[in-house]
Amino acid sequence: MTDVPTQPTGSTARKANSGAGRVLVAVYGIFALAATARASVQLLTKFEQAPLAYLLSALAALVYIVATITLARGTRASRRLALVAIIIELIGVITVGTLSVVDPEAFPRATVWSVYGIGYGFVPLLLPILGLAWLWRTEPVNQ
Amino acid sequence: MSGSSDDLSAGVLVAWAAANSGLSLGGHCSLLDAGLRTTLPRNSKSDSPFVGSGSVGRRADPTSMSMIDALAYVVIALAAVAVIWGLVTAVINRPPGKAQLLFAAGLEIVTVVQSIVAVGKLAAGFRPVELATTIGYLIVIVILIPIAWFWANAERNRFSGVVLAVAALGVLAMTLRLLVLWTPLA
Repeated sequence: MTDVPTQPTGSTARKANSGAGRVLVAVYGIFALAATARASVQLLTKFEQAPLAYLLSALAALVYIVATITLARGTRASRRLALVAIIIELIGVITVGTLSVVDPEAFPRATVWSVYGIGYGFVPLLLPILGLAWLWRTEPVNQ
Repeated sequence: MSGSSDDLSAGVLVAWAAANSGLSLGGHCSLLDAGLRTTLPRNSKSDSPFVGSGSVGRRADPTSMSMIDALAYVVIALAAVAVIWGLVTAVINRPPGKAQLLFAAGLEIVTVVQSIVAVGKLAAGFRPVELATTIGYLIVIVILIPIAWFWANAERNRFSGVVLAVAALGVLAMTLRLLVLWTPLA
């Protein structure tokens, strides 16, 4: 692959898991941990109270885990997986966010994506957008 | 809210300001958080229509929690410094220096002590409203800095500092959340 040294920033070759990408991975990692812990607690202790919302929590956790690992690896195959995970994440946060606003009854218990991630400072909405932008920016030119 | 916890509610208010600015990682229930943001300064009871359980923010017995509170405030202060430090080194385009890494290690140590003391209190019979959530937080909070430390040192540049800052911000947000969760089961 040909490197494209567009800017003389030094160490950052255009790799998904390098430079600012490492910060993205760190944020994804924290969300993976937080969402996993939260979903585990919900599923283990009160699943029957809101099965749909808690299964969505688990899905969110899974998506964050996959995105974290694949972005951190940064190989071509893992970039493809990252893309899928992040697109699911974006669809999830928009769908669940909209549903939770339009029909709060359907989501009596909040998930990480409820109201577009308001409980997490809307980072869940911002994160997939940043993720897609980063994958776009670091895309190998000669593919 | 019991009268003696005014300073706490001020502290939590700051917390919520921080959360609003972008990084509340803590919510076990985001709608509840949203409700609390507006009601917290005065009150304490969750009256959000979206939640059925978990009144958060009430601090019934301050004396039994002083140790936890003190540790939490130390963690919050250290984490805040670590966040700023990480951002500063990023701005001046340098990788984290030795002092900064040692500082992060110090933050980790206090965080571990906090979790140990809290688990000790749980073992001694203290029951917060959300026991499982609280235990989850006490576990997750101690692994953030070590992972970030490894990740930051694997590629050392300005972004290493941001990685440490992100982890410290996570520790800060989770500690704020723990302070609220640490409410005795009525």
